[in-house]
Amino acid sequence: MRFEARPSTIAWMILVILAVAVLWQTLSSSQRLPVQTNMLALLPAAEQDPVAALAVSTANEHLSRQHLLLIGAGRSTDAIAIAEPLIARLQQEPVFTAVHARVDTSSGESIARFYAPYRNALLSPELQQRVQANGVAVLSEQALHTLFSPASAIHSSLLANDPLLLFYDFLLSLGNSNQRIRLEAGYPFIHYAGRDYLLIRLELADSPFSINAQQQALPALDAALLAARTQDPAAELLDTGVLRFADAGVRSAKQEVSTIGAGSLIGVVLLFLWVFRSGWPLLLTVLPIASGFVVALAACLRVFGDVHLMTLVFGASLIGLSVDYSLHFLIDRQASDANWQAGDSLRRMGRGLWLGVASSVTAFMALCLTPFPGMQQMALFCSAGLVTAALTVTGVFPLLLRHGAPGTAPGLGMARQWLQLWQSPLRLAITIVIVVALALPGLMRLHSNDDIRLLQGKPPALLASDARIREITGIDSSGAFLLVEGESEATVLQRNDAASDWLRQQQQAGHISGFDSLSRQLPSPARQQQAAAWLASLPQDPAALAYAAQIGLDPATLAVYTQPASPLTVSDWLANDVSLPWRKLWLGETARGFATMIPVRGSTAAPINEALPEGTRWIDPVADMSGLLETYRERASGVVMAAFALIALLLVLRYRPRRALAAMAPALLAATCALAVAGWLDEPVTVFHLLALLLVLGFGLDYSLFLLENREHPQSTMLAILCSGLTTLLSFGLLALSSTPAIHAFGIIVLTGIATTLLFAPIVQTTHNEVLS
Amino acid sequence: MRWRLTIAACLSVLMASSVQADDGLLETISARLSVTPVVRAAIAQDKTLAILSRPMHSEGRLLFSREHGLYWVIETPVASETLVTRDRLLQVTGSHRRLMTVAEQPALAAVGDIFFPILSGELDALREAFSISVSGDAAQWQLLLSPTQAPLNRFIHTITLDGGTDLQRMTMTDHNGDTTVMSFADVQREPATLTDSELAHFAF
Repeated sequence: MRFEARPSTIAWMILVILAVAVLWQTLSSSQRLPVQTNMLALLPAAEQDPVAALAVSTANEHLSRQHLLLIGAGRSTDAIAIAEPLIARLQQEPVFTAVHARVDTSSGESIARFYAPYRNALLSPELQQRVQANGVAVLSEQALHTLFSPASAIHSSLLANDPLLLFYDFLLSLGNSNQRIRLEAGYPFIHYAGRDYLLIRLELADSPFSINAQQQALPALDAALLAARTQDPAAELLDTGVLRFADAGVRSAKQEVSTIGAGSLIGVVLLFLWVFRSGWPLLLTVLPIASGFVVALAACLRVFGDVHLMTLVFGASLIGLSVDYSLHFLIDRQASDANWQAGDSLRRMGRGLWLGVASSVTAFMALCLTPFPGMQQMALFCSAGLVTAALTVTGVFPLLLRHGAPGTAPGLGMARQWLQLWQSPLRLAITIVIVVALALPGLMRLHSNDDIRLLQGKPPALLASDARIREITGIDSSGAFLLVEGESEATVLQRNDAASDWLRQQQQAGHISGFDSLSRQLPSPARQQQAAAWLASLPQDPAALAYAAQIGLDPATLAVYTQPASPLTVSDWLANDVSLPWRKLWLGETARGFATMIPVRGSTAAPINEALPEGTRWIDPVADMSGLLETYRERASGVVMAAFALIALLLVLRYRPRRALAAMAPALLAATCALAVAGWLDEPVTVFHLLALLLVLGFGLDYSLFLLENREHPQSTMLAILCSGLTTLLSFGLLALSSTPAIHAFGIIVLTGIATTLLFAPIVQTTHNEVLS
Repeated sequence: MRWRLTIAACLSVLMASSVQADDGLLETISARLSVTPVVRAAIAQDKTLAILSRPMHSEGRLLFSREHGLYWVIETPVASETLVTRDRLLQVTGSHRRLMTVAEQPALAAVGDIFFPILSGELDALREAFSISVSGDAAQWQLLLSPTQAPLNRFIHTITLDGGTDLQRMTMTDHNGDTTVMSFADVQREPATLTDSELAHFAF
């Protein structure tokens, strides 16, 4: 037996051996494939600035590990009865680092103890602002009000140490920023619509996107919730967190992988059995797909270090296109006589095949130019997969298939009829007019929406419970914040104070519903010095002396305010547990100095940057990401047009203009119809629709090129195109059913695009025949 | 003062546990205090703090609605308004408004925990946090409340309520010997619902 060492055979062997080595190395070092499941990892970082990016990731990291639990009951005691065993159970779980529920009433005392050495330099921000505006007399006026207030629990020892109740006021101001929460038997409660809701906050040990969190934390939580529900069926148990959404995303993606995979497989099996009446070609076709997949996976792992779940979903479907190559080869063999040699088929189809690979890889490389890490990964995955598949067909098939398989393929007759579809120019013209007439209103209805939140498919049940929790608690995690920066700790804190004062005004004006700033917990050195100077002046202050006289207090007690205070520094504060709930806001030293952040809740509109206080930046990651998607949608539109223009130019150079136009026509009509369908379905156009258009263009050209280049066996080429087109329709038809909008968008465009391309593919043949005749 | 109150408290507790007939008097008092869901009264407050050379005297009015909460105006010596609902507290002094939640300051919880059951006559609710003893008769009665739970028992030693047909006086003592005496006068229960202008006070 003669071994035909074609270059493609050697290239295929090298690629597969290298790929197996890479996979072996990865699997032996980490036991499992590094598969990324976070949808956001598909998108480029919106933030180019390292400091802002650090702040965004800090905020995201914190937000994504939080899980909220609400227990609603008619009476608070009922809610507590459910909460106590539930909390005890969750505390046993190592997957939760913290279960926050019971508020430690002694924490107030430890806070007071921590701040005591600094007390003579501390004022609440509100009081500091009022003294700044109206003078030190404000302090005495405020004290008189507090003293006579029916709500203040003032006693002698308090007055002896703090005659103007300034430290008392400072400690009061450190409170909880959520105005709806009250304490009952030590538990945080929110009263809503006649029920009492107990709030529990869980912190996850791992990222919610990790397999660990999804496989351990969620079942543990669900089991605990089920036990609680069994204990009291009347109670309302609600929970929300990124964990739920991340898990749902992975679940639906996994389910879609299996349905799309199964659908595609069944379609291919049926097609093959019909065309070849034999199982052998089917097994052969698996070889290019499998070796393509292995090489693609290895290439991704080598270049990116991990592979995204979406890459596997899309990539596996796209490599399925290599069925084309097998089909062209096998059908050409089927249509030949007994003297068939593998070289004959390769000669007839080789040029079309490699032109097709080149145009597909070109289309994928256009994806590479987009800054989407996910798209780059997919482009690499698909390019590597398709090249390997093509090498398999040209290099390995001839070794496996040495003899012809004479016999008429059952589909050839149908392919012949299909090729004649547009023999009548009149019929073609009328059809095109009808298609365009139907498409136009659809195209008129096209609109775009780049909201990043639309891209992630979220199950309605989860969204509903998430919305209900937000409604009850008023907790809003839009993720917007103010980034405060400065060259030194002192400058940052001073700017933080100013920014907080400004935000308080915004809050009073109703522009925002609240914010969390370190300004209360950690006033700047400048504020501390200012407050210390005011307090030291109190023993001589006429208003303070008048106050003492009015209430019958010995004026000598005012001397307590002259004792020098130690300066409260960032390191003192960070070193103590009182800073625990707030530490995440302090970003510390950065590339440019120091930074802190102020999460802002319920902002009605992004403030204009010019109006922001000095040294601050408004950052809204969701809006920034949506803005980014808009930019890329516009850029992708440009890429699609440029690709069409470039390919048209190349075709005109290789063929005559008339045939170049005929070769372009199916793809152009396909793009028109695909966009029109999106318009008719009222689907906003996103960047994903446009990227799918690029693929439609690639496939459309593939078909035209095969028909133009293989002139000896047009029927078998058409049959191969029909088979591969139908396979693609089956796989992508199921993608359009995906609940993840990004995948659905991709699917619907490719579905309508490929269907249209198949319909109009014989146009090329029409011009070909004209040439022949 | 302090020891006398302590003895009184002990005696009252002993009496309450031995004399079952007191439950009848307690019911009578409850019925009188709960006859309407709305109470209005003039209130004079004297706080006696050991550190101050004289009691702090203030005067004002209070308006209580079982449904909405407590609205308390101090007229002299400094004007202020305080609004207490089940879970928050709003204090307005001049142009300065301060909103606090009970979660921020557990001591504030005492305001609701004490005033709400007393002013609405739900004396049974007080048993959750206080041991109660009653003395006197229907014409002139006295209730002695001793907090049994933290954090209330850290701020308050005893609360004494004096009354006849309606509440007359409330005396709070703390562990330092500081006392607060609130005297109620001009108690009005009609109209039994809030007027529109009264209701407006409860709109935050």
